Amino acid sequence: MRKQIIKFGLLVIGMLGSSLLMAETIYYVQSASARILTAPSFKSVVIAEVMRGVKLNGVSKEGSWIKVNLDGKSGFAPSLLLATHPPLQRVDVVTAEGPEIKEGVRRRTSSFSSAAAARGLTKEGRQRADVEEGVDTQAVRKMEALNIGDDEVMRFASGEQP
Amino acid sequence: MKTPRLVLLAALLAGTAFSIPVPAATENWRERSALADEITSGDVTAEITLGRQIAARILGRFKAYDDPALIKYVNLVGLSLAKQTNRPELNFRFMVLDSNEVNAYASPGGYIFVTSGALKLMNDEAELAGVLAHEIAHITEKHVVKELNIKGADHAELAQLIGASSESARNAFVQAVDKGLDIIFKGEYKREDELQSDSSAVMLCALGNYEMSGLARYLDRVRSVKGEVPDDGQTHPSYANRISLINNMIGNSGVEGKSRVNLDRFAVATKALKGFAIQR
Repeated sequence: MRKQIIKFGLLVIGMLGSSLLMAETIYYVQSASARILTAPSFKSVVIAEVMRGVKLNGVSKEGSWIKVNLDGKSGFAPSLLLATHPPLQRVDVVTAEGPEIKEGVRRRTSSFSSAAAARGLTKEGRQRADVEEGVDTQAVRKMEALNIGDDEVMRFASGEQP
Repeated sequence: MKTPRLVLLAALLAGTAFSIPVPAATENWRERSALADEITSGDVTAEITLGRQIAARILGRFKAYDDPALIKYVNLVGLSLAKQTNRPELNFRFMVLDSNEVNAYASPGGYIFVTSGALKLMNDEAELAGVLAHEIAHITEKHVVKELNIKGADHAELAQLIGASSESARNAFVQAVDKGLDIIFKGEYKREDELQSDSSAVMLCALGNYEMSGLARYLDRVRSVKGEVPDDGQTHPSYANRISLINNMIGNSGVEGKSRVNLDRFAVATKALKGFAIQR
């Protein structure tokens, strides 16, 4: 009986262990590229550099690092560069702008009403209402208008004077 | 004959151990932190829409600083860090606010602000990178978005709010914007959010080849200007604790000393700001 209990216990432990081993999480590289290192430290050796979209089998998490398997080798990648979904396409801000929201968000909840005070305003009237109510969408558009290309960012990152 | 039965029972128990459902709603930060890890483009659109409205409110409160060269420089520093993150779907944008307050803010969707007062307090580009990296981390970790979704809803709720046209939905969206502003302006981030942003910032600076201690040096200077934040272990971490966490991370990284601070480039970009008083 005792032997059977021990045997049963070992079986449960073994199966839990194998379940854990099988419970790998799939990660996708989200940054332009990611270096895989031999240990969770920047001073360790680089064993591979993988590009955006590459699928990695995550074995465990160690602080800010994910232990991954790649082509039979194990290594570590910063968790900042990975996500559990494939990289998404860049979302354009224009698609995120809806007229209902612009109308609805103008007033704080305390003063928000369904009165059509803000409806039917001209573009200029809407801008004036925005300023009066502490919302500056023009300044946001100006912020969004600054367009800096990836090449310029890369040159800056390599030390070039802007 | 007994062994197969044992195997079956053991397999059943082992399987059950990994199929216990996780509650959808929780106050636990660790569980909350995993809530919004799976995203769709609809969620991203919702996040940007929310963040854009919060950004409009921030810019309604503070004027943008009128120095295109400085704004471009801050954007270049920020973008060189943002390209190292796991949010390629976002356009990160950076703006300098004309305010002598020493502060920086992050709005969901990629809108990041740093005050001219904070820039005046900084000594080099590594410090600016540390501050921007901290704010970038609030966005990549979706701290505001997750906090707004904490009341039992999954992350799709925000998208539903934005897609709806009823007045109650619009009211709910306004409330979400108000709450988001409170989190950002009143510093209502969770303690764990702040510490996670600090540790991500250090990693991000290392990935961007910036000196990793920039954020710690800046926080130390902010502490000398604003005074220490009392740390009750529950809400805001003190500057001392944050600096200690950063220094521990640097100690374990082994890369300090090989990276850059870009003192000259920073001095040129911020020349017009120096000489003005900051708000203490």
